[in-house]
Amino acid sequence: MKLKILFFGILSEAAGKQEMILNDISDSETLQNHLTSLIPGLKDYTFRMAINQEFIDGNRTLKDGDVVAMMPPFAGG
Amino acid sequence: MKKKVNDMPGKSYFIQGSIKPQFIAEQITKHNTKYNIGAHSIFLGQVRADEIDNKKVAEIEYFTYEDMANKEIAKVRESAFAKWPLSCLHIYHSNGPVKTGEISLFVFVSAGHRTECLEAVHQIVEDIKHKVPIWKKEIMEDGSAYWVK
Repeated sequence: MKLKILFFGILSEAAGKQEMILNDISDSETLQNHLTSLIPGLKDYTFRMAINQEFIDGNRTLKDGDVVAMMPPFAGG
Repeated sequence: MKKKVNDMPGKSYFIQGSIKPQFIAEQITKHNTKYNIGAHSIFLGQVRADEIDNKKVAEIEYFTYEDMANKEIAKVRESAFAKWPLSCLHIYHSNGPVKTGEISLFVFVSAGHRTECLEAVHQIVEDIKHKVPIWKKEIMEDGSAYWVK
Protein backbone atom coordinates (compact mmCIF):
# COMPACT_ATOMS: atom_id res chain seq x y z
CA MET A 1 0.00 0.00 0.00
CA LYS A 2 1.06 3.52 -0.83
CA LEU A 3 0.70 6.74 1.21
CA LYS A 4 1.25 10.31 0.13
CA ILE A 5 2.65 12.59 2.83
CA LEU A 6 2.32 16.37 2.51
CA PHE A 7 4.43 18.84 4.52
CA PHE A 8 3.19 22.37 5.12
CA GLY A 9 4.63 25.62 6.46
CA ILE A 10 7.86 25.34 8.40
CA LEU A 11 7.62 21.52 8.24
CA SER A 12 8.29 21.64 4.50
CA GLU A 13 11.60 23.31 5.30
CA ALA A 14 12.39 20.85 8.09
CA ALA A 15 11.65 17.98 5.68
CA GLY A 16 13.37 19.67 2.74
CA LYS A 17 10.39 18.74 0.56
CA GLN A 18 6.67 19.33 0.21
CA GLU A 19 5.66 15.74 -0.32
CA MET A 20 6.88 12.17 -0.27
CA ILE A 21 5.54 8.67 -0.88
CA LEU A 22 5.82 5.96 1.76
CA ASN A 23 4.77 2.33 1.54
CA ASP A 24 3.31 -0.20 3.93
CA ILE A 25 2.66 1.79 7.10
CA SER A 26 -0.41 0.56 8.92
CA ASP A 27 -1.40 3.44 11.20
CA SER A 28 -0.81 7.13 11.92
CA GLU A 29 1.26 6.55 15.06
CA THR A 30 3.67 4.26 13.21
CA LEU A 31 3.81 6.83 10.42
CA GLN A 32 4.64 9.61 12.87
CA ASN A 33 7.45 7.56 14.43
CA HIS A 34 8.75 6.66 10.99
CA LEU A 35 8.71 10.30 9.86
CA THR A 36 10.51 11.57 12.96
CA SER A 37 13.24 8.98 12.47
CA LEU A 38 13.55 9.84 8.75
CA ILE A 39 13.46 13.59 9.48
CA PRO A 40 14.88 14.19 12.98
CA GLY A 41 14.14 17.95 12.71
CA LEU A 42 10.38 17.24 12.93
CA LYS A 43 10.74 16.59 16.67
CA ASP A 44 11.39 20.30 17.23
CA TYR A 45 7.94 21.29 15.97
CA THR A 46 4.36 21.03 17.08
CA PHE A 47 2.10 19.66 14.36
CA ARG A 48 -1.30 18.17 13.65
CA MET A 49 -2.06 15.47 11.16
CA ALA A 50 -4.95 15.21 8.74
CA ILE A 51 -5.89 12.14 6.71
CA ASN A 52 -7.66 12.88 3.44
CA GLN A 53 -8.28 16.46 4.63
CA GLU A 54 -9.83 15.48 7.99
CA PHE A 55 -8.05 16.26 11.26
CA ILE A 56 -7.27 13.21 13.35
CA ASP A 57 -7.02 12.75 17.11
CA GLY A 58 -5.32 9.63 18.40
CA ASN A 59 -4.18 6.71 16.30
CA ARG A 60 -5.86 5.88 12.98
CA THR A 61 -5.57 2.98 10.58
CA LEU A 62 -4.15 3.92 7.19
CA LYS A 63 -5.15 2.44 3.87
CA ASP A 64 -3.80 2.44 0.34
CA GLY A 65 -4.03 5.85 -1.32
CA ASP A 66 -4.44 7.88 1.88
CA VAL A 67 -3.07 11.42 1.82
CA VAL A 68 -1.59 12.46 5.14
CA ALA A 69 -0.95 16.16 5.81
CA MET A 70 1.63 17.25 8.37
CA MET A 71 0.58 20.70 9.53
CA PRO A 72 2.25 23.13 11.96
CA PRO A 73 0.03 25.57 13.94
CA PHE A 74 -2.08 27.73 11.64
CA ALA A 75 -1.35 31.41 11.06
CA GLY A 76 -4.07 32.76 8.82
CA GLY A 77 -5.36 36.31 8.76
CA MET B 1 -35.13 29.03 10.90
CA LYS B 2 -31.85 27.61 9.70
CA LYS B 3 -30.70 29.20 6.49
CA LYS B 4 -29.40 26.89 3.82
CA VAL B 5 -25.75 27.48 3.07
CA ASN B 6 -25.07 27.37 -0.64
CA ASP B 7 -21.47 26.34 -0.85
CA MET B 8 -20.80 25.11 -4.32
CA PRO B 9 -18.34 22.24 -4.65
CA GLY B 10 -15.06 23.51 -6.03
CA LYS B 11 -15.62 27.02 -4.72
CA SER B 12 -12.43 28.70 -3.50
CA TYR B 13 -12.31 31.34 -0.80
CA PHE B 14 -8.76 32.26 -1.82
CA ILE B 15 -7.59 35.17 -3.92
CA GLN B 16 -4.08 35.19 -5.38
CA GLY B 17 -2.21 38.17 -3.89
CA SER B 18 -3.85 41.06 -2.04
CA ILE B 19 -7.59 41.77 -1.80
CA LYS B 20 -8.15 45.06 -3.59
CA PRO B 21 -10.21 47.86 -1.96
CA GLN B 22 -12.11 48.16 -5.25
CA PHE B 23 -13.23 44.52 -4.96
CA ILE B 24 -14.42 45.17 -1.39
CA ALA B 25 -16.38 48.22 -2.56
CA GLU B 26 -17.99 46.15 -5.33
CA GLN B 27 -19.03 43.49 -2.81
CA ILE B 28 -20.70 46.14 -0.64
CA THR B 29 -22.48 47.62 -3.65
CA LYS B 30 -23.89 44.19 -4.59
CA HIS B 31 -25.92 44.22 -1.37
CA ASN B 32 -27.83 47.46 -1.99
CA THR B 33 -30.88 45.66 -3.36
CA LYS B 34 -31.17 43.24 -0.42
CA TYR B 35 -33.71 45.14 1.64
CA ASN B 36 -33.90 42.65 4.52
CA ILE B 37 -30.38 43.65 5.54
CA GLY B 38 -30.04 46.29 8.26
CA ALA B 39 -26.42 45.80 9.24
CA HIS B 40 -23.09 44.77 7.78
CA SER B 41 -19.95 43.93 9.73
CA ILE B 42 -16.73 43.94 7.79
CA PHE B 43 -13.37 42.74 9.05
CA LEU B 44 -10.26 43.49 7.04
CA GLY B 45 -6.89 41.99 7.91
CA GLN B 46 -3.99 44.16 6.76
CA VAL B 47 -0.31 43.24 6.52
CA ARG B 48 1.62 45.06 9.23
CA ALA B 49 5.23 46.25 8.92
CA ASP B 50 6.48 44.48 12.05
CA GLU B 51 10.12 44.90 12.97
CA ILE B 52 12.32 41.87 13.71
CA ASP B 53 16.04 42.28 14.54
CA ASN B 54 15.91 45.89 13.27
CA LYS B 55 14.51 44.74 9.92
CA LYS B 56 11.04 45.61 8.69
CA VAL B 57 8.52 43.26 7.09
CA ALA B 58 8.11 44.10 3.40
CA GLU B 59 5.46 41.49 2.62
CA ILE B 60 3.82 38.34 3.88
CA GLU B 61 3.65 35.24 1.76
CA TYR B 62 0.61 33.07 2.51
CA PHE B 63 0.52 29.32 1.98
CA THR B 64 -2.50 27.07 2.29
CA TYR B 65 -3.64 23.49 1.90
CA GLU B 66 -6.29 24.90 -0.36
CA ASP B 67 -8.68 21.97 -0.80
CA MET B 68 -8.82 21.33 2.94
CA ALA B 69 -8.90 25.06 3.78
CA ASN B 70 -11.91 25.55 1.51
CA LYS B 71 -13.72 22.74 3.34
CA GLU B 72 -12.82 24.21 6.74
CA ILE B 73 -14.01 27.68 5.71
CA ALA B 74 -17.26 26.12 4.50
CA LYS B 75 -17.63 24.58 7.99
CA VAL B 76 -16.98 27.99 9.61
CA ARG B 77 -19.75 29.43 7.43
CA GLU B 78 -22.14 26.60 8.28
CA SER B 79 -21.61 27.01 12.01
CA ALA B 80 -22.11 30.80 11.77
CA PHE B 81 -25.40 30.37 9.87
CA ALA B 82 -26.50 27.80 12.45
CA LYS B 83 -25.75 30.17 15.34
CA TRP B 84 -26.96 33.57 14.07
CA PRO B 85 -29.76 34.68 11.73
CA LEU B 86 -27.43 35.98 9.02
CA SER B 87 -28.52 37.12 5.58
CA CYS B 88 -25.13 36.80 3.86
CA LEU B 89 -21.60 35.83 4.72
CA HIS B 90 -18.63 36.25 2.41
CA ILE B 91 -15.07 35.25 3.23
CA TYR B 92 -11.96 35.88 1.15
CA HIS B 93 -8.36 35.14 2.14
CA SER B 94 -5.16 35.84 0.25
CA ASN B 95 -2.80 33.21 -1.02
CA GLY B 96 0.77 34.08 -2.09
CA PRO B 97 2.55 37.38 -1.49
CA VAL B 98 0.82 40.45 0.01
CA LYS B 99 2.75 43.69 0.63
CA THR B 100 2.61 45.66 3.88
CA GLY B 101 -0.43 47.92 3.98
CA GLU B 102 -2.42 45.62 1.70
CA ILE B 103 -5.47 43.56 2.66
CA SER B 104 -5.16 39.79 3.13
CA LEU B 105 -8.46 38.86 4.80
CA PHE B 106 -11.98 40.11 4.08
CA VAL B 107 -14.92 38.89 6.13
CA PHE B 108 -18.29 40.42 5.26
CA VAL B 109 -21.28 39.57 7.43
CA SER B 110 -24.79 40.89 6.77
CA ALA B 111 -27.91 40.51 8.88
CA GLY B 112 -31.13 42.22 9.84
CA HIS B 113 -29.61 43.79 12.94
CA ARG B 114 -26.26 44.83 14.36
CA THR B 115 -26.02 42.46 17.34
CA GLU B 116 -25.81 39.22 15.38
CA CYS B 117 -23.55 40.86 12.81
CA LEU B 118 -21.01 42.05 15.37
CA GLU B 119 -21.00 38.80 17.33
CA ALA B 120 -20.68 36.69 14.20
CA VAL B 121 -17.82 38.62 12.61
CA HIS B 122 -15.74 38.27 15.77
CA GLN B 123 -16.27 34.50 15.99
CA ILE B 124 -15.72 33.95 12.27
CA VAL B 125 -12.37 35.76 12.30
CA GLU B 126 -11.24 33.71 15.33
CA ASP B 127 -12.34 30.48 13.62
CA ILE B 128 -10.45 31.38 10.45
CA LYS B 129 -7.29 31.97 12.46
CA HIS B 130 -7.53 28.74 14.48
CA LYS B 131 -9.27 26.18 12.26
CA VAL B 132 -8.16 26.84 8.70
CA PRO B 133 -4.85 25.45 7.37
CA ILE B 134 -3.11 28.65 6.35
CA TRP B 135 0.51 29.57 7.09
CA LYS B 136 2.53 32.70 6.50
CA LYS B 137 6.09 33.76 6.06
CA GLU B 138 7.26 37.30 6.78
CA ILE B 139 9.57 38.50 4.02
CA MET B 140 11.85 41.25 5.27
CA GLU B 141 13.14 44.27 3.33
CA ASP B 142 16.55 42.60 2.94
CA GLY B 143 15.00 39.42 1.50
CA SER B 144 15.36 37.25 4.62
CA ALA B 145 12.23 35.37 5.69
CA TYR B 146 10.65 33.96 8.86
CA TRP B 147 7.74 31.55 9.28
CA VAL B 148 5.13 33.08 11.56
CA LYS B 149 4.43 30.80 14.52
